[in-house]
Amino acid sequence: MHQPASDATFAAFLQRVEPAVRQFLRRLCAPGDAEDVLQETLAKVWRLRGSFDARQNGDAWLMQAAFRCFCDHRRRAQRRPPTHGEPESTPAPAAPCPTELRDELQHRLAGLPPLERDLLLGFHAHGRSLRELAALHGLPLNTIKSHLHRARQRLHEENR
Amino acid sequence: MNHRDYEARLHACLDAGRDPLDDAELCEHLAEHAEDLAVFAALRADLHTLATLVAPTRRRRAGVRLAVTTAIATIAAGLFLLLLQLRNPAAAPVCTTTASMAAVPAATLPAPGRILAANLEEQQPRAHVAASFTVHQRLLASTSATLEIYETRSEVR
Repeated sequence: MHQPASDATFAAFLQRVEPAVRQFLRRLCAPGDAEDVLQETLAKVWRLRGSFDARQNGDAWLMQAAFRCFCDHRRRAQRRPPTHGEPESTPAPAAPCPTELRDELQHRLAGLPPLERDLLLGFHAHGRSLRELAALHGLPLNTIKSHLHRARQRLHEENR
Repeated sequence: MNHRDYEARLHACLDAGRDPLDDAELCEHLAEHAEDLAVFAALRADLHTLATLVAPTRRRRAGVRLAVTTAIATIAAGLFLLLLQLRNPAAAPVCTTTASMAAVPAATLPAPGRILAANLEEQQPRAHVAASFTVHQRLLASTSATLEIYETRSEVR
């Protein structure tokens, strides 16, 4: 049976989860957009607080709402004709990477097998194609793909 | 879409150099599965950070190679056309003048135009290349032997 939260409970819930949602959106959004999308998300979920079940996983519910708001925001930005000097599409997150993030990523990369580390750097940092990497390492293309996919998964697992 | 299909589709997007967020089905799956959503956001941030680990001068992109090749070809074509023009005095001048000219014997005409300097510079961001060259070209010839130095500079591409 649906148990809607009181306004005070819901407000406390939003206050608790807001930092995590902000960090989540900063990983997705272009610079300057994360705060806009966060405000849109909070306004939207506040209007929908009557449908929020206090027993459900509120964090996941809010992340999903934030993601939908981000997708809407991105679609609007892509449909909007660019003004002079603006790029024609919503860019990938281009926030300057703090040194600590880079250091932390390099530490995780060091924990990967050498081939997977080389493939990650070769493809995503150096811009080499899969065929170039296959030729470089003397391996079939599908083998390179498998290693690269595993490397992406392991990169996240190293972060846990 | 089950989790296995989602992962296969995600990696296919990344391998092809496409943004997974441009795939409507992937977005729909992510919106419905919070556990995959958190992992995706972390991966996206990591791949973005990864791209900044290598200094820009060491990154090789097909677009940069194409821009450099195009710039070199453009300069070569420009030099070739310039040489053709200089070898054919009857061709239309680059700059025209309404001043009348007395016929000047060929032997007394100034030396034909030549490239004094040429330079190819790589600009930032990486997709841009600037080419410049300075040309000494005969624009006006008369009994008073008036010459003009004409400098041309290409636009940043």
